[in-house]
Amino acid sequence: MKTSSIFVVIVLAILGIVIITSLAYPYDAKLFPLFIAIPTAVLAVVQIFRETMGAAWIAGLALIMCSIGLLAGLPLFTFLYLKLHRQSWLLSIVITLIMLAVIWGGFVVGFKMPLYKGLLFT
Amino acid sequence: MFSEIVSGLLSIFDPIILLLVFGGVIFGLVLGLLPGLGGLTVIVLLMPLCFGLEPLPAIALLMAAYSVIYQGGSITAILLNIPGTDPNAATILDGYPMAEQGKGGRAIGIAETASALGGIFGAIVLALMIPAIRPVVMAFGSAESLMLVFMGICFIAVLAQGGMIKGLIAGGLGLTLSFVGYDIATGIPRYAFGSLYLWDGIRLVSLALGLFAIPQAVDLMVTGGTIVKGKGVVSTPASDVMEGIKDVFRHWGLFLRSSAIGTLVGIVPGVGGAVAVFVAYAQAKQTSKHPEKFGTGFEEGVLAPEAANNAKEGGSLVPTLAFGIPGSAGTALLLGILMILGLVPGPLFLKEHLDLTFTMVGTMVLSCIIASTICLLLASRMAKIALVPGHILAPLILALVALGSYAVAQNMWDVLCAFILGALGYAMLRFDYPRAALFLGYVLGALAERYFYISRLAFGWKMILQPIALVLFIIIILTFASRPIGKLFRRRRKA
Repeated sequence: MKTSSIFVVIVLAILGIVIITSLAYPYDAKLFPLFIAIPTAVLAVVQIFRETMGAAWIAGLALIMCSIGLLAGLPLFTFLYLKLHRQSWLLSIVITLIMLAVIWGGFVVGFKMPLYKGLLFT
Repeated sequence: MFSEIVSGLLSIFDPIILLLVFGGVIFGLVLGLLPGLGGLTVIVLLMPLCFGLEPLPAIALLMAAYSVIYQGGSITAILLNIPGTDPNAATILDGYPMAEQGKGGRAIGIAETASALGGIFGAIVLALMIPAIRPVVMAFGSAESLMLVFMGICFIAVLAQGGMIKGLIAGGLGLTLSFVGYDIATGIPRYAFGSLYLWDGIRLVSLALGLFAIPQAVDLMVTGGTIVKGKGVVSTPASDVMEGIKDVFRHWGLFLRSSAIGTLVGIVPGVGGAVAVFVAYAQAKQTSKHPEKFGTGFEEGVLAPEAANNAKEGGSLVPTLAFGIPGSAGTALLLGILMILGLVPGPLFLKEHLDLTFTMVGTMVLSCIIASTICLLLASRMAKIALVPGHILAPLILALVALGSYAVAQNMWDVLCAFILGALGYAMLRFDYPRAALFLGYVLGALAERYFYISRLAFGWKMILQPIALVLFIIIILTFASRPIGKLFRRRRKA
C-alpha cells in the first residue's frame, strides 16, 4: 500500500472513531458532527478506492456481498466495476443481466440453493 | 456610517498603531524574503503575538504584515531569479531578463511602484464595495450563513490542486476537528476521550502552526533550502529606479487594467494568487503593441503581474470580511485570527465593526506605501536576505513554533498538539491535500454548527428551502458539477 493511502486510512480511522463516539451523545450534540463526518468518511473510502484500485475492489466486493447478499451484490459489483472502467452502458448492462440470469436461473431456480441474503435483508 | 469610516481611518494615525504598522511591514518584508518560508508562515508566526494585543493594534500589526508579504518576493524574483512566493513566478518572466541586461534597477522601480499602487487600487475597491454590499449581507440569516460556510469550503476544495475529493476530505476533517470540546447546544464535552485538555477543543494557534509552519520547517530540513538558481544581479542605481517609477505612469492604462483583473480574481473565493498574476500577464501580452517582446525583459511584463498581485489582496478581503468566506489560505488565517480576537467576519462584523474594517483598508494602503519605499531604497541589500541557508532557518522556525504555541496559554500540551498536527500538515503537503480547506473547516466549524442548530430550530429541514439559501445551495451543486459536465462536453466534441 502506498504511504498516501495509509494517510487516508488513518483519516478514515479517525472519522470512524468520531462517528462511533458520537452515537452515545444526545441528539443535538451528535447531529451536526455526524452530518459532516459521515459524508467525509464516505469520501475517504472513495479516495482509498481511487488510490489502491486492486485491493480496494476486493474489499469493496466483500463489503457489498456481506451487506446486500450474493444475488444482488455480485451483479451490482460487476456493473460498477465495468462502468467505472469506462465500458459502455450497453456492454455493462448486458454483462450484468447475463450474470444475474446465470445466478438466478442456475443457483436459485436450478440447484434450489438458498443464497446468502446479506446483513441488510436478514 | 460616514463617521465610523472616518474614525476607522483616523485611528491608524495613533503613534503606537503607526509603530505597529511599521514593525509589521518590516516583519512581513524580511520574513517574506527568507527562502522557502512564504507568506503564510509569516502570518502564522505573528498569530501568538496578536493574542496579547487589543483588537485594533492586533489588526494593524497583522494587516501590515499581511499586505506586504508578497512585496519582497518581487525583489528576489528580479535580481536573483528566485520567486519568493508563487505569485511572484510571473514577475520572473521579464524581470530577471531585465536584470541580466543591466536594467535591474528599472525593473525594481516598476515592480515596487506597480505593487504599491496596485495595493492601493485594491484597497479602494474594497472600501467602495463594503457600503454597497452591506444591505445584501444584512439579508443573510442563519440558514444562509450556514450555506455560505459550506460554499467557502467547497470553493477551496473544488479549486484545490490535489483534486475535489481530497479537498472535501480535508474540509470535512477540519470541521470534524472543530467539534472537539464543549458542545454549544448541550454543554457536554465531545471527543475528548477522557483528556481534560481536549475539553477546550484544539487550539487554533496550535493548528495553524502545525499545519503551516512545521511542514515548511521540515521541507527546509530536507532540501536545505539553498535555492540560488541564477548568478544574481545585484546592483540598482537610483537613476534606473526612477526611470522604472516613471514607466508605471507611462503605461497608465495597462496598470489600471491589471489592477482591475487582480481585484476581480481576488474577489472570487478559492482562486489563488498565481491565477491573478498570470491572467494579468496574458492580458498585458494580448493588448500590447509589442507582444513579441514579452519574456525577453520587457517593462510591461513586470508591471502587469505586480499590479495584479497586490490589487488582489484588497479584492480577496471583500468575501472574507463581508461573508466570512476567505478565498485563500492567507485570508483563512486572517479570519481565524479575527475570530480569536472576538470579531466574527460576516454580516455582524460589517454592522458592528465598520470602523475596524476601514482601519484594515487604511492599514493596507499605508503598508503598501511604506513597503514600496523601503524596497525601492534598499532593494539590492534586501536581495541578500534570500541567500540565508535553509539549514539555519529550520531550527529557528521550530523554536518559534514551540514558543508561539506555548505562549497562548502556557500549556505544554499546546506545543505537543502543534507538533502532532504538524505531522498531519506535512502528510497533507506531501500527499497534495489542501491545508487551507482543513484550516477553513476548522475555523468555521463552530460557527457552522451554531447556524445549523439555529436554522434547524427555526425551519427544521426546510432550512434549505429559504430563497437565498437555496440559491447558494444550487451554486454549490453547480460548482461540483462544473468539472464533470465540462468533461462530458469535451468528450462529446471530440466524438
